[in-house]
Amino acid sequence: MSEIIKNPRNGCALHGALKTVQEIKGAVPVIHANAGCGVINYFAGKASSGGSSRYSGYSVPGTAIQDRHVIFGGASRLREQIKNTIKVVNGDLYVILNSCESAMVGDDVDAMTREIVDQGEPVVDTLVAGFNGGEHYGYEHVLADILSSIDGVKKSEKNTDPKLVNIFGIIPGKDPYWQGNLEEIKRILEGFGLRVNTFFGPYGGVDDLVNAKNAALTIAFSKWGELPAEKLKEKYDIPVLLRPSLPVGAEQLRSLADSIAGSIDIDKDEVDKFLAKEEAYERDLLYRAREDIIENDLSATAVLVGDEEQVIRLGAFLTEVLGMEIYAAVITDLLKKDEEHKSDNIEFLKNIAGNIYITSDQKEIEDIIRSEKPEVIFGSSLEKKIADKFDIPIIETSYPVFEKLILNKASAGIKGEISFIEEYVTVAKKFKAEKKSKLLSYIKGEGRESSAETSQTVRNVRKLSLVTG
Amino acid sequence: MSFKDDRKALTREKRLSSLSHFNGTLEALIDEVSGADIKQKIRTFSQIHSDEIIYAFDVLSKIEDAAIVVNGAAGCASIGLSGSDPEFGWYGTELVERDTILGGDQKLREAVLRAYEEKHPKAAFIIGTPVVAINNDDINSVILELEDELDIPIISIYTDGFKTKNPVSGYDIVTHSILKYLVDSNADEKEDFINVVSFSESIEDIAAVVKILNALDIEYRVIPRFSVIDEIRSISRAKATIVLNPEEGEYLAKELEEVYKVPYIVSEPPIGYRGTKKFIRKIADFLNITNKADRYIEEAEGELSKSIKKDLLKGQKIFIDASLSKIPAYSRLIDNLGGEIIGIGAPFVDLENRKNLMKLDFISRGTNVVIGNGQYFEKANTIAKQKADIYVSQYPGSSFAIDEGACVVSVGGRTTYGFDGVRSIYNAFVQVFRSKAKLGSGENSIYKNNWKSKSGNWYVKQEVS
Repeated sequence: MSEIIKNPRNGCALHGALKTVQEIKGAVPVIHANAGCGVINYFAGKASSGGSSRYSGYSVPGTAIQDRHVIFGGASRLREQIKNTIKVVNGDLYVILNSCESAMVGDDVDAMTREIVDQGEPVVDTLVAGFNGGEHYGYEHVLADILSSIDGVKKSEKNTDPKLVNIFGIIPGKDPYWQGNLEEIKRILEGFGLRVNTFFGPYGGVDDLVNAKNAALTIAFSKWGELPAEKLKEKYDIPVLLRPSLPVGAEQLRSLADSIAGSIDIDKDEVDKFLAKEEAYERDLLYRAREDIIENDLSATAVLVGDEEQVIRLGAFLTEVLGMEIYAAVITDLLKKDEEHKSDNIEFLKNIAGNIYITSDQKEIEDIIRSEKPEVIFGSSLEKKIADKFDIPIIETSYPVFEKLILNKASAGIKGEISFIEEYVTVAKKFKAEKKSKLLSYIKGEGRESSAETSQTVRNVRKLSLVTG
Repeated sequence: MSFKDDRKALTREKRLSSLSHFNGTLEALIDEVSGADIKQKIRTFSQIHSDEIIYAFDVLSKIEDAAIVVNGAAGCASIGLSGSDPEFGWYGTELVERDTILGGDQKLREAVLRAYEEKHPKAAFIIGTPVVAINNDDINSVILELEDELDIPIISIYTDGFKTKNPVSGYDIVTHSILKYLVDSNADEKEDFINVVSFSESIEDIAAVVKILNALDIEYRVIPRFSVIDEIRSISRAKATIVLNPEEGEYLAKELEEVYKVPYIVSEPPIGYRGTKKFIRKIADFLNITNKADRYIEEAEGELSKSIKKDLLKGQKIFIDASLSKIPAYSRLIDNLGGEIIGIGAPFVDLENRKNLMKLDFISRGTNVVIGNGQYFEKANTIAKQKADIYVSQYPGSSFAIDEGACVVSVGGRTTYGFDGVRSIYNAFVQVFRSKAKLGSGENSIYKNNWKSKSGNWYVKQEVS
């Protein structure tokens, strides 16, 4: 893989940390960088689908460092900024995010933080220089750093709740459906009789960070949840359950329930009752959709492009439930050279796809699609161009998704399974309708196509005929 | 004096004493900026804002046949996602820690070569970022070597993110590069078109201007955004230049006039009745098509006036946040519709655009002015204190004002130029009255009440050098 990236879809560690902190209700990010670093994350995110949080864009406090801070050091500017941030903006926890500049200049950020913490203010800091890693790295490190320090700035007694679980691994913004997915996984775990620290979204907040130590279990739903989970294990001896992805469909819900039961006590009857209801609901709606699934050629061949968790989650469902064949899976997580995670999900991936690639380079992704020749693509809006070129449908499932607003729509659990089928059928129907109108023009002899295009269209006619009989 | 031979463009602060930090009355600001230079200030609390890297990237990414390499750490190049355009291709050198120690020259070389091979561009731009600037990477050696190998101009854009407080410096850096490396110096023979200089205008606003030019049968080339390299090369052969927002594009127009004798038709942004008419008449006078222009104005204005109610904004207190060169036109339009300006926000004031302050003679000299990129906490302070009814803004992130009790009219994504713009802005006001949607409340404000009871200039201090 080339180190140069065409159309990079991943931001840096600072962006990942900012995405993370700004989605925790009550947490205020304070960026110690030049003025525009955080704004790049804002503009990139704004073009995508998640809406804006309270502390986003131009509302985020930041030192906006200048020449003199690069030359003489920016620690005193940071001290002034922290002190004044506490006076101007409301917050329960202030998180200082350090950048490439402060790392290169060598600002003593720890000293500045200690000084203000000694005054009883809830401030923590983290070093997330962009050259240290990507957004995924920023997510895991800022959470681990907050969880390491929060006890010192938000004092409370440890009081373990045997039904409380922490969930990590879903990066806000990087999963376009993160908000709906968190709500759905919360609903499911509550259905199992558990209480959940979601940390993010409307049900999360700084209180969850404080309460994290009281949980009986931490579930990491991707390898990016491993570091914060391990941090809690190291500090508070909370067991960790590593899952390769969020569950989709009732069968995977049952597998999740089983593995939780292996770690903590859950009421088996309550779980069974809940799962029976979910299964009935799933059956009912799949029944409604099955005609559309059959008539619209959904069991096609595909290439999946997205972060590892999304690929595993979606891939398992597409192959097992819809009977698709995944020619290739393209993993877009920005990895470091030295892999630091325990989780190794290669076996899961091998079960899903014929070929597995790791790259976020647009040209490489397009080359893969070109050589694999799938009938459908599941990827980001960046794959639209190649989908249009080969005249195949694309279902946007990974970051970035342009021209959409996705707030509580899920792509995991049972609700996510159903809304995913809705989306896939919608795209397939629209694609088919467009094809029909092209074919109509073709048989009317309008706008004669070149011979290559014509033969492509004829091939597609044959394919459509097979499905429609 | 031409700046073309300088190695780099000067920052706005150095060239025009640009001030990006001020909070006070209109009168105090006029006083502050009326000398031969303007004293710098700082903020001891600040919020993040766009920098010159983002502005430069935005312009260059809209030149169709250019290739762009963002030379920086992983996140810097993700700015390319902001255009929501799957067709657009750009490259990031994605520097890692090792490159910050040993230099990233090799990666840059590789990136430019890749961009050349894959895109076959007419020119390649290398956008600088903080890591490269701090590390002092030798970009020029890479360029010299590659220019020998490839037959296109490879241009270093000297942006670093921390040497200027004014992101508009990014436009100046692009301007300087265009003039130095692209524009055809053989410009004696003029051709039958005018340059339309646009750096930040939305496609809607450019379309509104093009509509006017088409109605008057004027040949034009929009540059540098939405152009191609060959069009940029030809700007020295234009018969004149107009600039849609003078505080952004005047640098280019003046240089073209001085170096290539392309007359600069000095005008104002075509906003509101008066702004639009002035804009059209300036061009018409230069081209000797006054009668034709008058007929067009009469017709367009007559049609528009039928649907405009003069007292739409009666009793409404309005905070307007826009480029200083657009503030007089917006303010006059609001004033004509019966509204009262109670606050003004603008990103910067410098020795050139300060003249706009004197055009505000129809509003109170005691009106609060916030000079700053973003810095919404100070705008929130004014909006809350003055109990503004409407916050009009051309910038993203304007929804914060809802939590301070104001309705928001966002003009950033709609047509604001020309007679079409008058109708569109008017409709935005009509909509805001119609909706008055419950999209927030004071409880949602991210700012402490204690801050909003303080003087708005609390965190603005004189810079001690």
